Amino acid sequence: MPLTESGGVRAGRFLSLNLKLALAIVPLILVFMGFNYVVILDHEKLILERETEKRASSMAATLAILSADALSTFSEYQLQQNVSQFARDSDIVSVAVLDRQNRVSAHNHLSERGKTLDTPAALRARDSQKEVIEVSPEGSIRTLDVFYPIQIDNKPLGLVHLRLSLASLDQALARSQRYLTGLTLMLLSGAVVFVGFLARWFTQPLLTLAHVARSLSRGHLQTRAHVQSFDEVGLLGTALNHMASRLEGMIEREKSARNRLQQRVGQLLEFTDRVVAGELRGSADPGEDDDMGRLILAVNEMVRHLRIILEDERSVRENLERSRAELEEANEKLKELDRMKSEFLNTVSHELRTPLTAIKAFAEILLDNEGEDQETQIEFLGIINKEADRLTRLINNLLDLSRIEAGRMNWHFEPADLEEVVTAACDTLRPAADKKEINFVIEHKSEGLPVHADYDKMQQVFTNLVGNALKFTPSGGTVRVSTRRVGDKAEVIVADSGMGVAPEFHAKIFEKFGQVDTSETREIKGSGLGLPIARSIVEAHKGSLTVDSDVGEGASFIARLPLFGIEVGNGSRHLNPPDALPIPHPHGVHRTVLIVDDEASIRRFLRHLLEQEGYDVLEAANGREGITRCQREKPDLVLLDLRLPDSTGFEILGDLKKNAETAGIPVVILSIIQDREEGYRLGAADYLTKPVDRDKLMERIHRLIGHSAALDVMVVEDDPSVQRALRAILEHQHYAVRAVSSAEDALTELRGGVPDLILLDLMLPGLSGNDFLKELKQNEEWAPIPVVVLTAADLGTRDEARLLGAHSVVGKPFSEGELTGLIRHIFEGDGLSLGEPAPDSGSPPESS
Amino acid sequence: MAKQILVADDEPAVLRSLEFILKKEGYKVLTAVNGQEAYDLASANLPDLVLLDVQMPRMDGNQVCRQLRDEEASAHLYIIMITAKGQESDRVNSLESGANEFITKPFSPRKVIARVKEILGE
Repeated sequence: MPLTESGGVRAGRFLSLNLKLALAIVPLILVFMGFNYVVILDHEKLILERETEKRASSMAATLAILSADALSTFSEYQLQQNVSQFARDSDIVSVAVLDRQNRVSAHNHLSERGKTLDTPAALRARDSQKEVIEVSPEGSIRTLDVFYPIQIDNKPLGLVHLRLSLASLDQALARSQRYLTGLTLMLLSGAVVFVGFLARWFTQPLLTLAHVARSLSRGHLQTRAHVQSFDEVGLLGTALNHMASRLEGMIEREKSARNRLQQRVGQLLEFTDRVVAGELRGSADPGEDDDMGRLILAVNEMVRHLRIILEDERSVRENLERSRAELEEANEKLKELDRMKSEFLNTVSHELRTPLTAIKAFAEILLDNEGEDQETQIEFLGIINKEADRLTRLINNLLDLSRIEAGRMNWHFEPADLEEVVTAACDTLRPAADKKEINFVIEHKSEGLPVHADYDKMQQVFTNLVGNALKFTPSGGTVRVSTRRVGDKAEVIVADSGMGVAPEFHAKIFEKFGQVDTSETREIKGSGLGLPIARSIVEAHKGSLTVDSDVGEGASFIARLPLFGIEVGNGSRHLNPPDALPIPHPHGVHRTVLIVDDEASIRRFLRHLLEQEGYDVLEAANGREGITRCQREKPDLVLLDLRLPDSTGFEILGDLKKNAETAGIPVVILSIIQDREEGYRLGAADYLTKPVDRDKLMERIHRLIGHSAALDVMVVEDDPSVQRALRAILEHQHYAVRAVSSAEDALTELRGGVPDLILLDLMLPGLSGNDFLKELKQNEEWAPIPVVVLTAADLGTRDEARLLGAHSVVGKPFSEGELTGLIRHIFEGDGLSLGEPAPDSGSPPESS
Repeated sequence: MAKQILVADDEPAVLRSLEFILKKEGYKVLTAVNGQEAYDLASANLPDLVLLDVQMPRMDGNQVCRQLRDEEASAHLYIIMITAKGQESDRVNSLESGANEFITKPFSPRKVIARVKEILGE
């Protein structure tokens, strides 16, 4: 079979399965048919020839028997008769009887008689006396020759020769052959048809599958084979369908995965585009925990870092920018301050020179003109005196102002009635008003205005305000002074009917020498310092001084001061015992506060607050105990609750104030009960409502009894005015101050006791600030003292100071707030509280 | 005939001292207490010498000086500025406005008289 050979396979590569099947089956049929053809025909020929031989043999035998007698008797007739008889058979070609010499004795063809038949077969039969049968092809018609011996009693007499024609046999054979051929052809064509059908039957599903496979391969993944059978092809179809389903699923999954990936990539790109565009907010969604997700997370992380870096950079830049702006601003301020200082000096110089000029001129005139008449001399001396007074006033005003501004004013705060202050001021000015024929009205719209004030300074304020009003009011005009209560403020309005002040000058009139210099006002002389001083004083009392005026409408100066909690009696200036005056105590002393409250938690809270501030604390849970402890232990201050188990706080307050021993102890009421009037009437120094505001409470206590154990600050400064200013600033903050003018003095002072802080000027006579610092840092005991260097010098010097171990460096000029803030920071930052006793308690207490 | 001198100062005491010493020397003295008055008197009387305080109400000394210089009649008046401000810029201002010279406060009456006599050629 060609298919089994590789060559055949190769050759059959392009043959259809139909053809291959046909090629396989048709030769089989042909071989089978060929075999049949040969075997059947041969067999039939053999059988037919045997039968013919048998018939011929029997006929020859019969003739031999019949002819034996006749031959022996030479009865030719008989012989001829026999022969003719046999010759009738259609198959007989010839019948002959031969004698012993093989001469033809009788023959169906008479012409043949007498002839000798000496063919090998005839001779062999005569000689062997046996039957010889021989088939001879005689032309196209085959013949069968039979020689049969004629014997009587085994005595040969002759031979019978029969010749039969095999034509009919051959015809039958030919007929069979034709039949077989036809059959073969029929079978063959049937086989071809069958093979075709069979092949079709086999290949059709395969072709369908091939079509399906092709369709799938073209991407039509929904294509499925229609499986009808469960044979191999059916299995193949099912497998193909499975494969297609799997493939479709895979491709579907692949596609959706690709879509998802594209989507994520798109989102990531969108995000990175935003980032590139500078928008660093947000992050990309990682989606899944795969490589892409990790990539996105990494990008997010990068962007986050970038954002942090950028933010840092921005904040650094902003800080730089801010610092630069602050520096510029500070620089501008300094320049402005410098300009203002020059201007101020210029103005001061002018203002001082003017009275001096008159004094100098008249003094010289008097010296040069001894012979002058007395009247003139007295006139001149009067002028000199007046101008000297003016000069003194001016200088005093300047000093006042500078003291207030530097915080060095020695205030004498006390409870006072503002109405009384105003009245006193007005009384001194009434003659002037009368002289100028001004309608001078004073109205008190409330009964008493308790304030906490420096009486003299406050009187100075109103003398100035009313004096100005009288000065600027023309004769016949009106000056009205009114006092009243507005909320928790005392208000005094000084209104005149003068020319008024244009709104644009409202701010200027409160500036030093900031008089409105118009032709009219310039003629009304003033130092130009009255209003600035007045405002400074009022502001030092935590009040305000404003003006309400316009040109031609007169002016109203409005002073507002916080009301102070005292009930004002009849005209008495000093209502509280002297002990209650603010800060009467020297520094560096421990103060004791008695807490009278039935609530243990409140006592604990207050104790905590007070102890933090360095106060010693006593506690009493009820009124009786409070009074007892007060009498026995004489605290510096009592914090009194009004609701006590055994009595009301007011009763305790009354008892304390009645007792001479305890009357002087300031009592601060701390209560939820709002009855200030009663509290102050009974003599409470202050009245605070719960919940307690820590800062407020401490402020009141500090004001009443001062700080406990003030911190000790040493000032090393050779310039007396700076030294004074520093002292004022520090004492204002309740620090104990030791001031020295040189480094040598400072070292001496240090040996007497170590301060908590040193303020050091670098430019000192003799030993320089830096050398002092070095010395300080070499001494074990002194080295830890924080040193704040004050210098106007350049940055190099500051760096040097810092290198030498200064805690900080403050440039001159410095503000009070800057310095005190720094010092507070140092003390708090170093863990020193105000309550810690100053290591140097031996230094002389400073009076404030 | 006595020489005429205009003195202008808003400070009465200073004005009084100058008036006194000048009168004592025999000069005829005109006084003004503000710039406007000084200008009016100067242009009306064309005095031989003008002593002008710089800082005066209504019109300051420099302004008065400038205005006097602007008018032909008073352009050649001899003007001395009296200033309490000792700064260079003030002197420059005074000279720029056309003053011949200046005296600073506080001044010595003796020296003022000596200078006045010198200027007026006595």
